Amino acid sequence: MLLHLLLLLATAAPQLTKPPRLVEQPEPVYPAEALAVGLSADVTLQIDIDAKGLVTAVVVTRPAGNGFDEAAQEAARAMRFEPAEIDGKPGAIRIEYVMHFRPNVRPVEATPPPPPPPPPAKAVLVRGRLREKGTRDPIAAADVTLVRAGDEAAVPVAATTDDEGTFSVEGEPGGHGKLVVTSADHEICVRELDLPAAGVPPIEVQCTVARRDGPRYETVVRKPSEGADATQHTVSRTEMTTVPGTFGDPLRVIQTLPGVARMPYGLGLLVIRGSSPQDSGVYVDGHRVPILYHFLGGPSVLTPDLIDRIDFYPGGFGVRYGRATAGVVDVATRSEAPTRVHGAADVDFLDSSAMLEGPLGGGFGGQIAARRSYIDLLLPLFIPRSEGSSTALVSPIYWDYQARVARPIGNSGRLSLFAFGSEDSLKVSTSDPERGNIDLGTRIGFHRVIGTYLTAIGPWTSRFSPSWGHDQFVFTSGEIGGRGSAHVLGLREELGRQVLPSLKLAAGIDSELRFDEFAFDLSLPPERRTYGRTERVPTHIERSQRNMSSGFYAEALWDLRPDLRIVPGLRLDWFHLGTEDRVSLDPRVVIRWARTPTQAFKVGTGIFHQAPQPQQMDAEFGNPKLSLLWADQYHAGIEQGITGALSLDATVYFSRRHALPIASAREVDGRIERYASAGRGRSYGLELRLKHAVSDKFYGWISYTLARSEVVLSRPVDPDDPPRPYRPTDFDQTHNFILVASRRLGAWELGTRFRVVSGIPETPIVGATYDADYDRYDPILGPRNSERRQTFHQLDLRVERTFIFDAWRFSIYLDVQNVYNAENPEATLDDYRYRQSAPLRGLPILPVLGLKGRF
Amino acid sequence: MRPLIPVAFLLACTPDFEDPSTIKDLRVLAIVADPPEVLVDVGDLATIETVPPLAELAAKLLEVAANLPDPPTIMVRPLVVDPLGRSIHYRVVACGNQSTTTERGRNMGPGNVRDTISRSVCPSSAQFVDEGDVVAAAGEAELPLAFAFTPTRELLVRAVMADPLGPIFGLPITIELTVSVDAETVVARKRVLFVPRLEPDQMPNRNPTLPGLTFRRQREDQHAPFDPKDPPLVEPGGKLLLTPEIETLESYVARVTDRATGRLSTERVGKETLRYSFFTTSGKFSPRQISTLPSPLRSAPTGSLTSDYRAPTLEVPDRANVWVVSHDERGGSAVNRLWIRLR
Repeated sequence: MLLHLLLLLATAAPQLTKPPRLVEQPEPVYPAEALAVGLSADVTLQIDIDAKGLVTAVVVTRPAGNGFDEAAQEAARAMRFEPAEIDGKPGAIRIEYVMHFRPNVRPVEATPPPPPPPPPAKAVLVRGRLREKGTRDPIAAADVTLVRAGDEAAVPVAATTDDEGTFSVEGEPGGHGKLVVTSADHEICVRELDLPAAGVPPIEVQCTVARRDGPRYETVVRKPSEGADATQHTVSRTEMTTVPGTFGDPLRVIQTLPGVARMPYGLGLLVIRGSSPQDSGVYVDGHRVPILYHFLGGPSVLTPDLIDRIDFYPGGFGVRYGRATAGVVDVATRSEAPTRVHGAADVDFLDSSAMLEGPLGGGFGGQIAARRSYIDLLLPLFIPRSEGSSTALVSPIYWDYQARVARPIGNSGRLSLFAFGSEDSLKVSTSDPERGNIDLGTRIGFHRVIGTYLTAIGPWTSRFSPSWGHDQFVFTSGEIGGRGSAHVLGLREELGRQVLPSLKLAAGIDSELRFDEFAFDLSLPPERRTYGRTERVPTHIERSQRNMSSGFYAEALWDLRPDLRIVPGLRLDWFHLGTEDRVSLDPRVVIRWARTPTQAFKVGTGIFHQAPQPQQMDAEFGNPKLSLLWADQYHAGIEQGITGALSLDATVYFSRRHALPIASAREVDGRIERYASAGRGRSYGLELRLKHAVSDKFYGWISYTLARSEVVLSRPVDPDDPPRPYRPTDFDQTHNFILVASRRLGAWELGTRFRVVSGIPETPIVGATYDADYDRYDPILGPRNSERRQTFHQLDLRVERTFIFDAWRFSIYLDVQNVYNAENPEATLDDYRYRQSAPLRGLPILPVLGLKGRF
Repeated sequence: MRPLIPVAFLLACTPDFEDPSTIKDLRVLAIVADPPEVLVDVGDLATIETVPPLAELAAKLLEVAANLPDPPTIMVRPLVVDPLGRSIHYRVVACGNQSTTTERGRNMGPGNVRDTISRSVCPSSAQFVDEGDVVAAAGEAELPLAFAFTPTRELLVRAVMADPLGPIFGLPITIELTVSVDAETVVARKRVLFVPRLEPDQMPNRNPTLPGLTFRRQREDQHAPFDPKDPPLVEPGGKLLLTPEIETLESYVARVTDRATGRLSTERVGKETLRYSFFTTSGKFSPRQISTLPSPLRSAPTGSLTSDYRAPTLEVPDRANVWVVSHDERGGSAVNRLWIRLR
């Protein structure tokens, strides 16, 4: 398992090019009292190893008591390793280590196996495989012994299972025996055997054993900080699927990390450090995707089983990413070719999903997954419709799919093709025979095919990744409607080379070419002065745009000293936006000083550019002369290891945004410009994350963000007037506190999430006037966003029970949101004349039952 | 998936606000100006094809302001209702289109023409029109309030200079009525339009009329004339479907901007849109407003123009007073008064 995870992590950048190797291991002192009574034990340790191979910290993550823990820690502290290598150079790493204590067998890792018995004629008697019950994962490093009948006194270890869980036992043919397979964490497998006679093929044995203490969290090896990004949060596989309140959706875990604003009703918009959602980039395997979540706060568009890692950068990301001025989410999907058949299915009230993976022959492996909702069938049962009622029936329908084929090439190369896509439909309808029907047919979907070819070209590593995509949206209602589609071609080439032991260079191309087609049928009011509704003008608008963005970047990872890394980078972007061209140059730098193996300081700064939204540069409705938006960001932070599993990450940041498009009615060159690049914004704050790394029984973190994000999106009418002051953005949240904790107790898993977040800003209504021409009341607004809604607080709990069978396992979970039914106001509703108001409360207590099966 | 549940929750949780069609306290339901529109000769501003630069336009505006005719006297009849029968203080002022710069660019200048109509209150420099106290007759809810308004030349000139698009697309002069009693205050506005003469035989807008209404008990029933002298009886909790009889929809000429090119043209609008608002002292109407223009969002509209009256079930009086206010799209309005028998 450890090796498997190491290999997985090795596929990410930076790559673990060599695992640590134990070169010196003092024998642990067997506790005398335990030895006297014949106690055995296994102690699981978490060991931090520095870049020199020295052990810097040892934590017992799974104690055994009876003096074993102290003995194991003592022995582990004296171990010496040949250091791990990250990207070809020594680096610090954390590993899990299990130390076995047996009264009659020396610790497995402590000494080499006993010398084999004298070699009288031997033959392979038994071949077999040891697998874990429920997952069918192979169990490596298990001891296999063969006890011949009448010779129980001698119990030599005959073999050890390999990474695939296979073993073979040699011996003298004939007779009877008992095969005993023991592993540290699993139950014993015992088989009575008639051993084959000479010349007879060996016996095949399949052992499927359960974990002694039920399922546990996966072991995690923390990836050493890359150094190219000042602030980065990586979400492990365990954290992806078990955080309460996220319903096992990995991408929703992002919303529990520092720097991410809380969205009402769990809506899936990503507001990072107070910026607009379109200011952040969402990538899958390095290629941008239009949406991350299904409609109306639905699940993410990728099934959890295919996600390997999520990297979240709330700011200060490296030059590999561009065309975004706020944060970046990069979802890395699993890249290895499956060698065994596995499957999964999730079923609940509103949707179902399934995944199947396995080898395809010829070295290829494949995965396929799909999901389909059926809320459109259930929702009508709960919402009555009647004549004259204005109640609208909202019926979301969504599906998504993923398919991957991968094949390893050579020792380190890999070829893969990943196709995925999703579609969301939103059907809103009301039916009143007197006034006609509203049928809102809204559909948004996308498809992506991403190819990846990893290889080495001389001293360079190369990652070549072309992609093709198709985006589309459609909405219709009565006389109006719109549709759009785009073909998207993407290309990434990333090269890396270790130039010197202390210097690594990386360079790449990041291009995207979009062919957009839009058509709208609108019913617009005529551009004349009228008072109230008037007959509208059917307007047909078509647009065809070719937008191209190409980025060229280079970055150096330069270790000035073993403990000091500087990462300067430069990115050049060329934007071709319709008929306009823009060029940007983004220098960025990050410095990381690892003062001790458990303490590192980091600072960074950089420039970030992005294009305005297409409609803002439209010749008719916008201003083609708009500038690029840009931001300058500054951040400093500390990573502090507290204990082996506990660490603190703190970052302070300051970011300014410039040339934000604002609505403008100024006359420029005889034309109303409609938009001007005259807005500005700023955000600053402190982000803390106190994290307990995933151990076999527990993980958790506390996120706290103290932040302020402000904008100026207007200009004084008279240019001589003083500039408008900053005001809070719509999602400015001063305090955002999140606690996440999850604990395994045998087959049960209990988790909790607790959140306290400042209320979002609100514009007060200080009065209203009645307009007799329009027959309506107009509110008189106070200063924009000058008040706040009530503080939000909510407790979520999750209980999951896992049942393990030989070849599969089954889980039933209860995820309860808002356990104590807090009445959090998420919006304010006003009466027709703005005298009465009432809070629109958030989610009430919401228990959701789900079922999961895995084989 | 599961977060979709809140969607159903949202739909189910509408606060129990007071119904806007039910009159329970001091309300302004309409302000009728007669005439609602005044024609003004604006010279070549009536035929220009592009809005000139603001500096050049300002000179033309001065010329228009100098040639303004003597302002006419306008009769104003607000429909102010107070079911509690209190003495109401009122004050009336008038002003031109106000600049209300907002983050969304409204009223900032000649951008989208339809967005340049002010919704702000009159400034302290507004022209004073009238002030006094008024009380409804015994047993009546409606206040006997009416006054004459003659805009001063100074007001018109200020309005022209503050609203460069006014002489081209129509210059609104706002009549602002403030009524108050105890701690209640209602501020209401009505605009009288000074529009450019675009054709020699052009007639100014006139207030719409509502010839009558029909009623049904059920949707399947035939329409029957609503006789104001012998209104139908509606049982407690019962329903009555009211349909206005539509008069001929007027056509008119107006200056329009092409959204793509910014060029100006004179267009004849084939027929104006009429809207009807329903108010009552007991029970409620749904929908409160109906229009001759079907919603563009609705597919297969039936063309029905009906508001459903629902009688109260508790504290049922003998009768419900009903006001039907008609609006056209150029500031014209009219009031029809009727009542429904509840006992």
